[in-house]
Amino acid sequence: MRFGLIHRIFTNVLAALGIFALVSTASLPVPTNITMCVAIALAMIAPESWQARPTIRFLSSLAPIVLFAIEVVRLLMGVSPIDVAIEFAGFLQVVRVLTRRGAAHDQQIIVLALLHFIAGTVLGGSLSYGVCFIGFVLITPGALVLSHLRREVEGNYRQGARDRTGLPVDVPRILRSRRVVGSGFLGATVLLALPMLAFTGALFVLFPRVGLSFMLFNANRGSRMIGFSDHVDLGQVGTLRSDPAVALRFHLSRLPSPPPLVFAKRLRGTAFDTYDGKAWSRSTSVRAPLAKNLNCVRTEYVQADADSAIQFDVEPLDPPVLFLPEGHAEICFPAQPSVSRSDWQLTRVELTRGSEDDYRYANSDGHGIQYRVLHAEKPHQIRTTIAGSEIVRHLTLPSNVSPRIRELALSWTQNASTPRSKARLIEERLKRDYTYDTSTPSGAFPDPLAHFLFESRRGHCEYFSTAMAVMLRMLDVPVPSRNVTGFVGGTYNRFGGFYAVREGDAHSWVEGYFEDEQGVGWTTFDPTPVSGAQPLASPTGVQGYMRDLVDAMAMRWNRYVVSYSQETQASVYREILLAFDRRRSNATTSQGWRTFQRGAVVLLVALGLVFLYLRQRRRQTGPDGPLPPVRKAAATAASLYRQLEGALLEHGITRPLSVTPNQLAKALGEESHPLADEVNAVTHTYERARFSVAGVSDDELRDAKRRISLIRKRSANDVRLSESAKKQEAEEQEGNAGK
Amino acid sequence: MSGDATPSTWHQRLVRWLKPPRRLKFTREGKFLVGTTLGVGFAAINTGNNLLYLMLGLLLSLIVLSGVLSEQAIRGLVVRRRLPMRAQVGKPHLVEIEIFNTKLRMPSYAIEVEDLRQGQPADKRCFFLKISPRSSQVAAYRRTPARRGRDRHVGFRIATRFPFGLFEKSREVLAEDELVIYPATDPIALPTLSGTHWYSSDAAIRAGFGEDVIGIKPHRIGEDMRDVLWRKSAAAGQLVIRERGVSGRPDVQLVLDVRAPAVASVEWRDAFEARVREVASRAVAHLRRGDRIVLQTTAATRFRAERATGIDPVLRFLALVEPAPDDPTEPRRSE
Repeated sequence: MRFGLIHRIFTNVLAALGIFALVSTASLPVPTNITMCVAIALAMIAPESWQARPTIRFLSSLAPIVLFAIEVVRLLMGVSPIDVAIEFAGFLQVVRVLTRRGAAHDQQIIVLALLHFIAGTVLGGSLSYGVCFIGFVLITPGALVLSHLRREVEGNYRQGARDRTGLPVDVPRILRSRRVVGSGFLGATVLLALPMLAFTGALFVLFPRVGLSFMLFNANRGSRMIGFSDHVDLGQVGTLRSDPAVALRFHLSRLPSPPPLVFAKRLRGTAFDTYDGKAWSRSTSVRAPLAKNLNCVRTEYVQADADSAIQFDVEPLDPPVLFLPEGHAEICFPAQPSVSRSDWQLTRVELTRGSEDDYRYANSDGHGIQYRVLHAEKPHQIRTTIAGSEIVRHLTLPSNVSPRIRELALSWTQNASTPRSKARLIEERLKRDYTYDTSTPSGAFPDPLAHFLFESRRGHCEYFSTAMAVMLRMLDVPVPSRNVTGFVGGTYNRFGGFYAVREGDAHSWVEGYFEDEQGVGWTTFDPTPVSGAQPLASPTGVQGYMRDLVDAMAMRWNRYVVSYSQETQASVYREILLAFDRRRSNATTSQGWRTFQRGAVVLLVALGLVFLYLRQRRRQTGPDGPLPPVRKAAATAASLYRQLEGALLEHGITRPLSVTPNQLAKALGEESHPLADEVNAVTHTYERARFSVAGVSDDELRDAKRRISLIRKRSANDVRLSESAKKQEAEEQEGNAGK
Repeated sequence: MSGDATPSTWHQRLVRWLKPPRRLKFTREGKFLVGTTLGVGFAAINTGNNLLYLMLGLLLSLIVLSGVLSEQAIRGLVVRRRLPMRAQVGKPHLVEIEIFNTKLRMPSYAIEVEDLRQGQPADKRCFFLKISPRSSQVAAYRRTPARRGRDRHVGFRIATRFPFGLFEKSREVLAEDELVIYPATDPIALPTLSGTHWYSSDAAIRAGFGEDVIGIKPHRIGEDMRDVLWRKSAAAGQLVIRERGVSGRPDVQLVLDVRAPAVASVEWRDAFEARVREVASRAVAHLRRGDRIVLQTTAATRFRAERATGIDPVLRFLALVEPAPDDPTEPRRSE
């Protein structure tokens, strides 16, 4: 492929990944995200020839300034500074991609993409960021290499470089060349991702987690929060049922085989005691911190036979509520590093308990929370009591509640004798006579509950739970009740081995307080028809497969990357050391360990010797390795004669290419040159070394080198004087002879 | 030419052993990346954000990878230099650099070879975009010498910024070579030879043992049998040989004063160089006209040349001539 085209593709992909990292992690408005994505796509497919147009060149200078001015104005208008900065960075990349010319601009694109990626790292950490990370690891080496090569080409060849013929180098021809970058090059650059991933993984696992927390203001901008509501309003809620986003995942310690695809586990979040005729709220906001025992908290439902555990992995949530199964006995947390405290020590999760037995946490750093819950599999074993004052607030009703509701409740329960049986009757009637419908019109009326019970007769779970809670308080023997919200789920993920609970699985039910022979405490009632009290149905086929796959990857990403903590790191070290110790302790007593030790020592020594041998061999033979004997003799002879030529050059004697070494030696001899004898001897040695089968001995070589050294040492003046003296003598002899 | 010099003494070996085999220099992009890496590293340690640790790992792996690949790029390269046959002050010449990649599989990318000359700053570089394995590439650079004399090339610096342009890694190899830079010459118009002049060609040839053939004559005992003309001998019935002649024209004497004062000033050096240039110009002009010349210096060195030997030996002689300290006690030779 063409070098220039490959380079363009790599740079474009990197720019797109940077924009994707921004869009997927930052909380920009959807129109802004769409605009940014469309703009970068258009900029990437713009023809390269446009970039030479004067309009585009003008745009490349003007657009960043205009963009900056717009963002400053938006900042002054009160838009979040982070949003402004992100938008500016994103659209700056669009302008750069559209108007790039040459390698310098391409490098700017890469730098901007890198900065986008860093911004994405800081702003979020969802699975989409993980996808961006993998993409960056795959693409970055190739993009950087190609960009560097192009910059070298432009930098070196445009400064007037010439080829061996002396002609200037044609840069566009190089960029069009298909020989610079081949499939092997592309494969190698992509394969570079493997060592990069290995190095990154090793550093990630081994680098000590410290958490200095200098100058942090705890301004978590974070990630998207799951929309679990802190209040119940009959007129507003009801659209969550269609949201498939995962709110939490849980693992069961005792998973039946085969695992059921749907596991309708009711997970309690929070509860409300006060109803004002339209919405539920809490009459008191007092929360009590819970005593901690290491990382675990005992709830008040302590039972000795709490024999089952559930591991929860909750997405970032607002409000930060723990979701607990019925019969929970103990909650345990992994330690987490702090980002909001000045001390760098690990901070334990701070847990508080509200007046309605709801549990909230702090210090999760916007990354969700993981915890493990021990719970009793038989909830009826749990016993608890509440004080008289608390009973009163769970019986309070608003003054505007319709009396028809009381009449309805009494009519439904006239055949029951005990409060508990009356509650069962109300639950059954609501389940049987009313329809589950998320688009009920009752919310628009002043008394939505009355409209639900007497007019529309259809509603979502909060109507059912509100109706039952209110009706329980209106009985002839009022039953303390409260409205509970949480989730009911979830669906089994075949890849992750967990149950995923989605936002659409949010649910509402009722707790009634009884003191009778069946038990003392709160009892759960769910008056919602079964169709509305079940987890969302899983899609089937390819869609279901892909959703499970993405959910499993997201869970692992959250658990093993985002939530990787110092405690996890310490446990990894501990496991490695323990494994090593175990192996050593098992092996020290055995012959195998001693053999292993000896083998390791021998192997190390052998490797050292091989290294020294290769190093010495390389020094002696050069990087090409040893020469074959014939080539070695020829190389020795050629080197010897080159030294002789160098020495003769110092005396002004050169050998034309048409003259053989032997002819040169003879010519010097005929001229009675003072160096003739030395040259003749060295030439003789050279010819024997070069052409004879026997070659020459080391002594002969040393003698030849000594003669060359002598030639070098004789000064040029000595030789010339000696030469001229001989010539004068010869001329005088000729003259005498003539006379 | 390439290769490493063998150190002769222990301290040279020690110095060489202690000397880092590679030189590393940050580029602007490298400084940016290292700064970013430090920033991300600090942020990761400060916040404990695991994603920043990932980012830090990615950036550090880029740096490590850059070091490994650049080492691979400059390993296994053999560089040779091809000097021109002659070079003269003020006239540009090309120096060819041939680089051979001895590696079996890996090509070398973005290699820069700097030709190192003794005592002169290295300003000439040749760039090789790609050198395939087991193959060579040739590039040339143009140079215009400013001084006559020996131009010693001592080696090469092989450098690369491959793969990411973050650092420039280089190593030096010894490759000694020498080019004699001839002095500059100026065109000089000499009067043409005429037959009536006392040194005209006709009058200047006389019988002798030169290269010129001036006729034929009967062979006499003792004369070189290689000059026998066999066909003419057969026709004449006796041995006939070529009669050789030598130029009787007197040699042109060019004298160069090389006596230098005890402390040679810059002005004297310039004047000396100007004299060398003038003598070289005159010598070339005379040789081109066909004269035999005798170059003589005041330091008792003499050099003969004629048209048949060409101008190279004369220019080489003048390229290497150096001022000699003036010794008043030494008797001066005169020709």
